[in-house]
Order: sequence, then structure tokens, then C-alpha cells
Amino acid sequence: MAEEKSQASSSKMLTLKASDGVLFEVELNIAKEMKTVQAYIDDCEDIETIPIPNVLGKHLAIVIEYIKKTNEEYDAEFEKQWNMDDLQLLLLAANYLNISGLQECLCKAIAKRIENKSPEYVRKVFNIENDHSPEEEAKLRKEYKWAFEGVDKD
Amino acid sequence: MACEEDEDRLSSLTDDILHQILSLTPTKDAVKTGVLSKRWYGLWRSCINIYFTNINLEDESSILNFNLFLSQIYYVHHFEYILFNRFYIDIQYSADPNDIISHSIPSLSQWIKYAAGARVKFLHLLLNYVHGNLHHLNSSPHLPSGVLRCKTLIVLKLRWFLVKSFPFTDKVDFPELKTLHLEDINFKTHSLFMLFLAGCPVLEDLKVANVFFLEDKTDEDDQVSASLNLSNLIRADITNCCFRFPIKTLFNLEFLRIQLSPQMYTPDDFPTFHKLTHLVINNISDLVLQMLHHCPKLQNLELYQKTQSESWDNREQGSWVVPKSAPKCLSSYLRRCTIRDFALQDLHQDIMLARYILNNAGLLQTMTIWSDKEKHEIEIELSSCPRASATCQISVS
Repeated sequence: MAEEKSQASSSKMLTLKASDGVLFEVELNIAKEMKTVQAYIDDCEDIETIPIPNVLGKHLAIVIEYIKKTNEEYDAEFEKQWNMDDLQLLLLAANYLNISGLQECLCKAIAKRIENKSPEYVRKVFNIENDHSPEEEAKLRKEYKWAFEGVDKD
Repeated sequence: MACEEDEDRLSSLTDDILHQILSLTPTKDAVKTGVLSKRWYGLWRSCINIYFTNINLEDESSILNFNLFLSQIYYVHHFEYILFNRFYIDIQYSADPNDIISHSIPSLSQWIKYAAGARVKFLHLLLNYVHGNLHHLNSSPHLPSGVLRCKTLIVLKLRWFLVKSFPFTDKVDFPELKTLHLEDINFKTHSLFMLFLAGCPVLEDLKVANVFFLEDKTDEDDQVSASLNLSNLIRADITNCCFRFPIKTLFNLEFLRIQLSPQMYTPDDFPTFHKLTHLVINNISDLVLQMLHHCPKLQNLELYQKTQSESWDNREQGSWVVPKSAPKCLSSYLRRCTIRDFALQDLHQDIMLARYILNNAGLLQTMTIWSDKEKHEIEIELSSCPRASATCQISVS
């Protein structure tokens, strides 16, 4: 939006427009953490509003807050707050916006949630349809028998 | 927006993202994803990492089953030329030590040699032995020689090993190692331990807990100790090592946790810690105030008495001696002070120490006391004490 011409470039503001129309005014150095946005700026120098067609306003807000606050402590608490649905949408957003730190944080969070769980549980949580034939599945379970022993109660 | 609650979103992520998730997942769980659906059948094969946690091996047969799985993963890993960054193994044994040494260690050793060749960067080899009252350090396995061949390591964590010599080479050489954690390690000589540290020139983070020596210290050991250079070290955590660590070499630290027994250390051992802002001392004695004189920029001080084994050093009963001069950090830098196990051995001395700090710490923001005894009396004594910092908050729990 308004360019404060007399100030250093790090406090220049930019507007991001989420897929549902919500607008976010962010500092340039925050926006640059999103490599996708950086590329946009490189291509069109005097752009004021950048459309983010794949990300809902609610998730873009979370992403921006993450960029501002990220550190070890914040990351550890960050991933606990979201349900599986949000985690996945945030991961898609981080991937689209090309923010490697956030992407790694969310991948770790999802990895933690499938740790020590049975395949049935993982299928249920992620709504994965099992299209293996019973023979195929049995073969894999037998081949790597050790992996299928002892899991958390669902 | 249409409700997308029931969509299989995870599977709609690209293969690259799923690989990233699987490479952060414990090996066991990553392999299991093969049965989720056809899409997932082969995904794990190209990104499988060595990441084993919460493994319990109770007898020979469980060790052999685990070895079989390890060799299966080896073939996948080898076949797919997977890049090798992380090698994390955390195993608890309650099997017979002979079985551990003859069946489990060789299998792990082979993997470590392979990891060394594949330029692994992060290696955690954490073993543990749980079997009644048997003193487990006596049966610890030899450190696999492959570990010393992993020259590309940035992080190395080891637990429950015996180091008798450095095979194949005379020295340890980890030119890029930044983090080293050693726990439950038995070194044959003091020199071996010093040489291990000397082989890590860019080390920034050191943790040493439960390190013992088979042989007594010699003069030669003292020489090696005196020439040790750890000037890049930023964090050090040294507990339960029954020997005098050459603290003089730690002068660049920002964080230090140390067990300061008066039997082992004297103020002559302390350098000036120019950058130390956070200090945690296990053991309350006269050495605490002496140490403070050597930490001009200290902001955060923590004291506690109990150790991991819930035991504590016996303290000399004595009377409080008012120090001649207040340590500089008290007046100009100290912001937080935490004292745990307060009044564990000597209520009066601990109160005198706390009062002394309150009297002199001009910038102190919080004084936190943790105690199992006499909370009421402690509260009265401390809140009535004149404070150098008007904004200081005291809490007793």
C-alpha cells in the first residue's frame, strides 16, 4: 500500500491478497521470506498488491506470524496448535510460497503425528483410501515383519 | 467455501513433500506407510533415513529380528543411493551383555562404516542398559571404530561406550564437528578423553555426563589437559565427571552448567568468563561466590544440589562469611536468579546466600526459590531482606 519513500527499504510495505480476498499489509523483508513472492517482486518492480490464489486468509495470517516470530521455542509450540487439516493446508501454503523453514517445521509436525501409529490410524487421520489388494498388503507386512510389531493404541 | 474435511489431502501433496515428511519419520513408521495405499507403496524407499527411537531389545531373538530389519533397510538404502544425512539410533537393552556384544554391536558397526563412507552429518548412537542392579558401565561395548571414520560429522551424540584406544589412527579428527554429547562413557585414560576433545577444533556445544576413567590420572594426562584448546566453545554442560575438567580452556563460553565440588576445584582453576551470561552450578558452596567474581557479564544464575541419581555432595557445615567485595556481575548485570533444592542441607547458609544476592544485585528482576522445606520461613526471611533492586520479584515454590 503506501510506500514510505523517506524510509529504508526494510520498512517498505506490501499487500498480499489471499484467495478469499483478505488483505495483509506486510513489511518487505517479511514478504521476501516467501520465495514465491520474492520472484513476483523481481518480475514486477512497482507492484503494490500481490495475489496469493492458493492460500486462504486464515492460513496466510498464520504463515506471516510464523515468519515474524520463528525461533526454536516458537517452532516447538507452533506445531502443537493446529489440527491435521490445518497442518496440511499450511504445508501446502508453505510449499507454494516457498518458505523452506516453515515447510520443514510442518513436515516434522506431521511426521511426529504418524510416529508409532498403526496404518489403520494413519489412514483414518488422513482419509487415505486403501486400494491395495489384501494379498499385496499381506506381502508387504510379511516382508518387513519387524516394522509392524508394537504400536500405540489408536 | 465447500467443506473439504473429508478430502485425502496428505496424498495430494507432491512426492517431494511426502519424501520430506518420510525422511523425518522414524524408519519403522516410514516403512509401514507402504501399506497405506498404492500411491504410498514405494514412496519410502527413496527417502528412508536411519532413525530408530524407543527400541527395546530384551533378548537374543529380539536383537536378531532387529538386525534382520536393519539389513533389509541396508539393501534398500544401498540400491537407491540415498543421500545420508542423519543416523539416529536409540536402543535400550535388557539382554545379556554377551548377546549385545556378539550380535548387536557388529550389526551396528557395519552400518556406521557405511554411514562414514556416505558422509553422514548427524550421528546419534545412544545405547542404554537396563538390567536390575548390575552396574551397567562395566559391561559397555567398545566404541565402534567406524564412528571415528565419520569425518563429515557436524553433530555426534554417544551413550554407553568404552573407549580403550583409537584404532587405526593415533588421533581423533572431526574438523567440522560443532556439537558433541558424551554420556555414560568409560575412557581408559584421561588422555584419551582430552585427545577426543582436542580432535574437535570448531566445537561449539559440549555436553559431558557420567564420564569415567579406568586408570588414574598421570602427569602426562595433566600435560595433555593443559594444552587443550576449546576456544570456539559456546555452550558447555559438565556433570557427574569424577575428575577436574580444565575449565581454563572454557573462557569463551556463553552458557555453562557444571558440578563444582570443592573437593575437585579451587578458584585458581577459574578463568575469566568474558562472555558468560547464563551459569548453572550443581552444588552450593563457597565456590559459588568465587565463581561469580570470574563472570563479569552474568545475567542468569541457577543453583541446584540434587543430581540425576537424586544424591548430593555433602556440604561442609560452616558459618557464613561475608565476602570482602561483591562480584561485579551482581551490581551491573544479574537479572535472574533461581535456587533449587533450597535448604536441602543447610537452611541458614542458603538464606544468607540468597539475602546476599538480593542485597547486592541492582538489576535483579526475579529471584525464584524451589524448596521442599520451610517454605514459610524462607518467604519471611527473604521478603524482609533489603533489596538492591526495587523491581525484584521473589517467588518461593
